[in-house]
Amino acid sequence: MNKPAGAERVIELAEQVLAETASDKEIAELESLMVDEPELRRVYLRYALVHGQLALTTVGLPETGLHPLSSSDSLVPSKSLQTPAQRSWLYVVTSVAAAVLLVVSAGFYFAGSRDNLGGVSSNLPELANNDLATGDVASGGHYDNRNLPVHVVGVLDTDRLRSISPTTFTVHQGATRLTTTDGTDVQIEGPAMFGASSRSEGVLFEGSVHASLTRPDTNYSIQTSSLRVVDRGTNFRVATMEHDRIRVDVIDGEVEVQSRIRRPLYYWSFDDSGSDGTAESEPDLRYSDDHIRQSPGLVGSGALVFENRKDAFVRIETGTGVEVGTGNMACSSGISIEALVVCRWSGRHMDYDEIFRKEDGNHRMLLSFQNDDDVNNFDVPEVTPGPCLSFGLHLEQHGYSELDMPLDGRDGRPTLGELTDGRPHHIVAAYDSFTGQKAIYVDGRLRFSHDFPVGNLILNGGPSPAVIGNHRNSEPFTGTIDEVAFYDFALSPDEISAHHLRAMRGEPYFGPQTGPLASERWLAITLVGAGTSQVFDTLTGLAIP
Amino acid sequence: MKDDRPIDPEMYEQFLTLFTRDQLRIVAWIRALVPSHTSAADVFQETSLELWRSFSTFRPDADFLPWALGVARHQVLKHWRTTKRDRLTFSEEFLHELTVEAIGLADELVPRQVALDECVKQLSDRQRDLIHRFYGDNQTAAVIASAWERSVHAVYKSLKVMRRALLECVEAKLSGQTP
Repeated sequence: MNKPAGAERVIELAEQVLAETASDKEIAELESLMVDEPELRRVYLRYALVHGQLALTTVGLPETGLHPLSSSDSLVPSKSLQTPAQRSWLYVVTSVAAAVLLVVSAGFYFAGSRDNLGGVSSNLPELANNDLATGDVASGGHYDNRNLPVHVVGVLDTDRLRSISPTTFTVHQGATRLTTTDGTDVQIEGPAMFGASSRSEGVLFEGSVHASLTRPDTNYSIQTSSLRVVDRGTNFRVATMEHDRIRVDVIDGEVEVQSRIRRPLYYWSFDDSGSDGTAESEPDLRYSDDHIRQSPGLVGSGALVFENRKDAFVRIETGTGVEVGTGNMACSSGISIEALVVCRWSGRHMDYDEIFRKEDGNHRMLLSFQNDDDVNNFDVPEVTPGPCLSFGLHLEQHGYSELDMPLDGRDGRPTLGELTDGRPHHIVAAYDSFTGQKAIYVDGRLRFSHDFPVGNLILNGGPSPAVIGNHRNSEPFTGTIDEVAFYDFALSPDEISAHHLRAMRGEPYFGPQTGPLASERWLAITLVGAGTSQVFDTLTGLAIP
Repeated sequence: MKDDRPIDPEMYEQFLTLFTRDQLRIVAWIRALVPSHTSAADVFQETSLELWRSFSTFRPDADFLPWALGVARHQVLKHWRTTKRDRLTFSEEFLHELTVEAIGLADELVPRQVALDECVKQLSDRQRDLIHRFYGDNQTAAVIASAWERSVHAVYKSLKVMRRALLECVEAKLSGQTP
């Protein structure tokens, strides 16, 4: 087939559309490619038609005897069709045929029926198939399980759907009710996008959510990009507005509105014998005996030197949970991993150098140098095989994937030589569910990114401890690692740039004026009482009169 | 809503004959423009009812399928208008153009379906299993990944590789080549 110029890219983007994973940016690109090119529109449509017609092939319609009809075929009575157990196309066309018959014979308008989910998007999680048992814990650190138990956060109030994993709901119209396993009633009022991130917290991306507690011993909070509304035994609603604002309506009791404290969850400067002041209580760093040298810090008094020894690592013995979705390192709406490194990675084929990794099976997160021909097909977007800096994360609806930044010097990306020039480099990997962007920054600048659809929550956390500088004695780092920070939100480009500038001056990421690191993640701004409403700017946290 | 039209048995029989003959083609056409199975099913249902309601405007000497796709086109556009937050967010103006272009594919639907059926026979057992699960049983990628003990991402990649190969195969068959 002689394809017109741009056809490959159109098919690539069309694939994202068919998988319902296309970002707004990709949709816009696809449209711009096709808008003045009828030939490319036909390429797109013919590719999409493969998708449309596959359900009607003999394999897609098994055991029915139904087949696509040629133009000379005569009528096939619908009553002769068998009804499969699931809602296949056969079921659909049979139902519709019956509906049409009903229209004709009874003269009634038969409204298109929807399933029990009302206006909820079809991009729902695999609700009925998760075997979710909160007590079913991977034991002994063994993680060879692609479907680790995930945290049950709620039960939809239908007979059909019993439990869900952390996930995002898109409600097109009407209201959909969710009851958390703590008994909180959460009503999502469409059009809305709402992430049920844990049994006690949800993330509001767009629209309106009404939460009502039924048990006094529980609590529930609703998070937006930088603000969080925490109940105080109450009944309340949060709604997004234009211009980065939210409105909080309190029907009963009161709520506390909080602003995110933009400090790391964990910060290891390696200035002392193993650990420094941290966001939580002192995190336990476990060094692999004497194989790791401490050197004068790239920032501060100390840093870790790794000599490519398989038995050298630093294990972080905190932040773990009993299952995926739990533990202090289980993030949902955003994440950032930040480090200062002097890299001496070989770049050779099948040589891996790990900066940071928390290995929880397919829910792992990692930041590492790789050159493995994408052996596991994890790269999203797909890139040309070769040396790369990889940021791995599991997102709901998408599963585990890696943002593999090629070290090829193209389009603003660094080369391998640039990163292994013996000088310190500031690296940040970040994901923000509010924008959908997964990104790698080097030396204060965005170098590579991929846009997922807005609203995909992270699924990570679990029983395995995070490790700096190695993975299972097989991916030892070569070089120096300093100032590792872990955040449960995405740093902004301005913050990353500021951190880089400070680090290059030999200063910590955070100036003294910012105050000490603290375990609190949110700062109370104000209380909103019963019968009142208040509008807030989500960026500044200020109440709008 | 009550439809007070008297029922013309002849018209009804004619409609049912034409509709039943072309319904799967309409289904495929809709799903090409509305990738989600459940959304496409809803659009098809609305389209089917609208086809009957509008059947009195259908000229008996015209081709039913292009006319039906014209009706389906309006339902597709209506779907995207009412689901603004869904994944596909082409501009409304462009969707109008695209769906008009799609009606132009009416003549290709049958030969493409026949070619596709032939091409599917050449797939591996694994790929046919994927079609059966994803398109036949409407299993999600996550469910298939679990059954196959692979990642969700790997399932999506398998779908992508398979669909691209099938497109090449269909095009080759339609151009007289033998893939």
